[in-house]
Amino acid sequence: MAIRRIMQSVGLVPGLGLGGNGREALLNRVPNYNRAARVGPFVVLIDFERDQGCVGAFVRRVLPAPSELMRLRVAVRSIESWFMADADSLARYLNVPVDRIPAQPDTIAQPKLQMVNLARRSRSSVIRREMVPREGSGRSVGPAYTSRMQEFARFHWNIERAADTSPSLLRSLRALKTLAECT
Amino acid sequence: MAPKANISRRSKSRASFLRFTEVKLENWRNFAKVGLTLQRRNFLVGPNAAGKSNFLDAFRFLGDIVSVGGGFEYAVGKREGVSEIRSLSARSNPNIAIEVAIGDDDSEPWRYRLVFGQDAQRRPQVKAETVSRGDRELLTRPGDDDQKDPERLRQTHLEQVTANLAFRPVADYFRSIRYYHIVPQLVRESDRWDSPDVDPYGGDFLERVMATSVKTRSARLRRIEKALVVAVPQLQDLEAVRDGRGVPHLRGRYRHWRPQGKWQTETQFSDGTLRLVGLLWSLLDGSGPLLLEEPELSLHPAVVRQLAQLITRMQTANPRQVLASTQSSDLLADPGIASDEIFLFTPSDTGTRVEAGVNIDKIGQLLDAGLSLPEVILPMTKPERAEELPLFAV
Repeated sequence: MAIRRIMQSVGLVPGLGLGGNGREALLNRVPNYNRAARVGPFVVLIDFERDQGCVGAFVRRVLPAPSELMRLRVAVRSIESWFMADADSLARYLNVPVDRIPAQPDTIAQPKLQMVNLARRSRSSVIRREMVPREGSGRSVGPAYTSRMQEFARFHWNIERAADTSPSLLRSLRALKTLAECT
Repeated sequence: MAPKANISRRSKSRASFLRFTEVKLENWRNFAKVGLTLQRRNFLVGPNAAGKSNFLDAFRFLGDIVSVGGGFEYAVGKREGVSEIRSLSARSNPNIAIEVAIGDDDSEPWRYRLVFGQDAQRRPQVKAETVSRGDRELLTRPGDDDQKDPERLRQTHLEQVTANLAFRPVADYFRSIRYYHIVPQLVRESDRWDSPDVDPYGGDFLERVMATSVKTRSARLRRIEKALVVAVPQLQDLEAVRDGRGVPHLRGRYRHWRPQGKWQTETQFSDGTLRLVGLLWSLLDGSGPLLLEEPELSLHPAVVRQLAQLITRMQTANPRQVLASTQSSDLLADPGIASDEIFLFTPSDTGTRVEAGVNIDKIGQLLDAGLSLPEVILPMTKPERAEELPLFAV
């Protein structure tokens, strides 16, 4: 959902959506998507997560020879950083004070954990129950975390506002604009 | 500054919603002994014929005891007698036991235990029936009355309105149990089921839809339409109507190139559409425990991947407990499913064993190492020699 909205914001028309099998599977498929991008434009959005080093090195390692119509964009360190970059909307959605949201989301080491901890402080018991994992559950997110993030991305997230606070998002938008211009 | 909405009141009434917190079975069908702590969402995983349906049947049995026109003898008779119900590995103890605890987050749990077997004439007989709340005993049978008149042991107190006053909420709770396993072919053959009983396979699904008040039915179908827009975008305008012969039908209008879409009835709906409508309806129908069999059947994997979250979000407004059997890696891949919401069914020579995922150390270790639930669980429940199946063709 986030990737569709990002694409739409720069004038790209999202087509067939692949993936949905986790980050590992996506990484493994990048060479294939790159091959497919020889005949049509392809946008891949992946979370940087705990990869060491810099994003540039990561991208060069994963995609050494990008096709002209291929765009591999990396959310630093995960999509949650880009959501936190629109602090006003997120604060309202999670029902937390806006000053709880970190000012420079690109620098957050563990954005997913940060998001869960934000939800933990929510005034809404529904948000807390749905997004925060139960004690002893053995999971890192709550039972409706993904659905809530999807809902935020689809209905509340202001991409332009987020790009003001997240340089990595701004760079991605610029890179995707170049794709929109040549297709 | 605007006044804050009072959320705490709402969450209190939510927390007082009952659910089964524990279940114990002895000699029930293919289970020698089972003891589990249940959650608000429960996923039963195991190979075919491991007994997941038999497990759910224990809850349906309790529902049959208290159903209108039901009762203990009816519930046993419907299952063709005590011998049919009893585990084959029952040696020293010829009796069957079902025990459940019902509670919420606030007050003391109720505990109901029924032990039954046969009398000298091989008729079903209550051997013991106990109800307690906290440390108060509300019922202990057999009592003096039962000793004096053993005929009383042909009935539970649970099913008798005159006898269950002290623990009426337990009976009411059992009566609120709902079981859904929609078999599309049988929904389409809606005239196949004559019995007044609820058809376990959905043959009376359409009648159940029609039996709902018009206002409730329309509101539910409206909500289902909105959800279907996501999974079946061509389908609009879902309605339930009776035809000239009084037979109920579902009909939906599909958007075609024609400006006025064409109506289709359930006979033309795909299996997936019917199962999805059935699933969505079941999530809206009632506030008691919901038993689901393999909700993933006939549904697109992308839809199945959302089911666990759908259940959780429905539970926000309607905190009913859900117990679902599943074999789907798409369903189990959900990152929000806790290890205490998973129950592994493992057949063995002495009956099927059931273990909560949270008690299996290996699961916790592999999850911590970053593996997903289906990566860990499905190999544990896989039929051992599944790879040899194609040799059948040789």
